[in-house]
Amino acid sequence: MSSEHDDHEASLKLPSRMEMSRRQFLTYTLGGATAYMAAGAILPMVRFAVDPILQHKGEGTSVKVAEISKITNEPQEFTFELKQQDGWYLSNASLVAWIRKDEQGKIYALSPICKHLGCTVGWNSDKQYPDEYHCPCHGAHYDKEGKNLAVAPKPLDEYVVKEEQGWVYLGDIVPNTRVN
Amino acid sequence: MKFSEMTQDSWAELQLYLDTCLIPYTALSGEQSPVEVTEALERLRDFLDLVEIPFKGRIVTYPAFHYANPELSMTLNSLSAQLKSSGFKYVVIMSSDGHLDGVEIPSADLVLSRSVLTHAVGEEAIARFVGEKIRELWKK
Repeated sequence: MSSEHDDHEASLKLPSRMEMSRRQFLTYTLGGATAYMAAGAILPMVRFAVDPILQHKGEGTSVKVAEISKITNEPQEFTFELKQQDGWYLSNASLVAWIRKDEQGKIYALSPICKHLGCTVGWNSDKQYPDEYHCPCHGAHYDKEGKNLAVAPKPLDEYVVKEEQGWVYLGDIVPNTRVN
Repeated sequence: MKFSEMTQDSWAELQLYLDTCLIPYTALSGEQSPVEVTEALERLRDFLDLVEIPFKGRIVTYPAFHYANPELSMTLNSLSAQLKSSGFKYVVIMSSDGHLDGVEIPSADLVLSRSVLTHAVGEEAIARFVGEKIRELWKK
């Protein structure tokens, strides 16, 4: 008897299909909507954070500073303006370089920022240290190649120098390559 | 360096080298418009640059006095004495628009008023003059 009943119920069952449950449908829909909204909020922030990295370096990294004919073996002080991009802020920085020609006739330019605590050094500015760069703050001094002789832990930085059509162009400030 | 650039650790390390305190004074009367106040602060900033940039590693700029008042010299004198007792060896006061008399502020080691210097040494010579005064102060 029971066997007949089971056979009858089995014959009433609809063919089975892989249907999505109501719970699954709601989970996918709400999850998708939440992810979409979160992406909308986060992506602009990520873009904003990495934007300066994605930008190509503009022109103007080298600045015309001095005529080659005016460069001598004695260091001379030149002041120039450099456009600098600090994150999103474009400004003009006033920079100073001490430029000279070495014994082989090669032109190089030193930054006057003391490597001790950031004061500004001057050439021949202290009678006790003739023919040297001297820092007025804590007595650091450097030779004409920028080699640190006292107090400062490193030599004076250099500018990247380019010579073009009779002019000296200065670029980025890099660690000193002339002294060890 | 500005006072705000210092952390507890960096101050402990650098205090030995940063022995000079710089106090800016704007000399506002309260009658200036916002634009005039901005200009006064820009003039003071430019004047401070003559010391803050070349002598960055030995000077700490403290918060400014902005408004003029009759007891200002006395206040600046007490403050200078207090700063020295807290460890600074030298105190320098700088103002672009204010007229300060160093005699009335004996605890300060150097008082520089741009408007006074303009008459005394001329506009072009101010930067060199200020630099020399600071170097002389440290050689004393």
